[in-house]
Amino acid sequence: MDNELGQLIHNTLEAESNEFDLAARVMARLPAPSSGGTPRGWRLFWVPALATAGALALFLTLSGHDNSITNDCAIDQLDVTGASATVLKLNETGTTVVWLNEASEEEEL
Amino acid sequence: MESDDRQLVRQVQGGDQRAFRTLVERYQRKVFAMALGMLRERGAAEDLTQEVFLKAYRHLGNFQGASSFYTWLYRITTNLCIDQLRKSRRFVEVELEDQAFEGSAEMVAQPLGFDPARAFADREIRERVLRALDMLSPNHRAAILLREAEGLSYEEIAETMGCSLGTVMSRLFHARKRMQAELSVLVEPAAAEEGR
Amino acid sequence: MSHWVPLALACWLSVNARAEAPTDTARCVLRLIHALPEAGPPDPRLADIHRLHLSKPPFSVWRSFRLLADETRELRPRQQLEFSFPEGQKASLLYTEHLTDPSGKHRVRGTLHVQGAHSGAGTGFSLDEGGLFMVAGQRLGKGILIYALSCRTED
Repeated sequence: MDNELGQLIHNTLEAESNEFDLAARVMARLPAPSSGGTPRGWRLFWVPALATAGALALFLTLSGHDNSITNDCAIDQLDVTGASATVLKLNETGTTVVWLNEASEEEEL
Repeated sequence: MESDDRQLVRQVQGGDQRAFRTLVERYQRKVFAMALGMLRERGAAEDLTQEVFLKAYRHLGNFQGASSFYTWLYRITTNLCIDQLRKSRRFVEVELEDQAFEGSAEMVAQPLGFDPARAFADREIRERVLRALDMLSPNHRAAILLREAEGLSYEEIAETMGCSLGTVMSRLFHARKRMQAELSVLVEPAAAEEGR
Repeated sequence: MSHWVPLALACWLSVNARAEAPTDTARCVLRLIHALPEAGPPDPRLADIHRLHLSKPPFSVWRSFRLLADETRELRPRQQLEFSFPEGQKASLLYTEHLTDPSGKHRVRGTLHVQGAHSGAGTGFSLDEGGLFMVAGQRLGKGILIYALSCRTED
């Protein structure tokens, strides 16, 4: 929520949906569950395979994954008040900086 | 929450209906809020919320987990709402401005001029907000509800609505602008009181 | 030769298992730095960031840097934390989610709001795990403020 209008919409719908409960009605309308669920053969293959993979994943994790830190940063959204903003990508490190250019005291007057 | 959702989805896929009930209880108010904002009528929103969960249950077997469960659920909700609005033809579908958006004007949120918390206590304000939402086209309405009521990121909205990030920003920009204009009338009584 | 097949399968599965089930808690470090026009003694707590960033443009026009605060917090997905700094600035960090891209790179998505005396900014970002993201430029006295954020999801 990043503005008063958004807060107003959010509050309106939260107040309107506060007491809402139809879980029982939905559940009553579900089809009866089919017997069996996931086929047993699937489990026979995947459970040991995943256990092996899990052990290996743990080993890889403990042995220090992702040692090379990269710095890519995507700005998904930017809301600024009281300033203009520039998004900079620094040359050597690739670090992203949001630079706020506030108006000077004189300009504000 | 998301990893917990994934676990519940797997349980439902394995035939566990109790896990589905947990998902319904977790998201029913959010889905209903979205449906109410889209359709405005409480009865229609209730029916649609049920339909969303029944459809989700029927199709959960095909859910691969490429997106999160809630964005998938909101996609079902948005599509059903837009279908229903199109059938009822309660709007004029003109959204040429979706292509005419140029970026940074969207970034600055305008102050509304009164306390948004008043919506909790004042039913008339809530009615006014719902009426203002009703003035928007279905796509603009869905975008602003997904953003403000459900708290989705721009990317999640793009994924949910099947459109580009630029289109999401455009829809939000125009929806906010229109809502601000529709709701400006709410500021006047407060301003008048202050002036006394 | 055939014994390599299960090993290769296990490796492939392990990579995918990590991609499918990332650790969701994020450990985030938010530092607030005051950049000043006057020369001053170097702050040893800023040695790394000074060498990599603060000694270079656009920060190099400032002649000294002072660490005002250094906060480390753990967040669950969709958790928001508020920060209050000694000079009265406020910031909030919403950690939205932990992403793993197809190449296996871990990323952290969130929103950082900073509120200064004259301006405020809310930035939604998706940042490489361990990478640095900065918001700079709000005025404080004769200098400016620099917020530097870094998050990790796995140690």
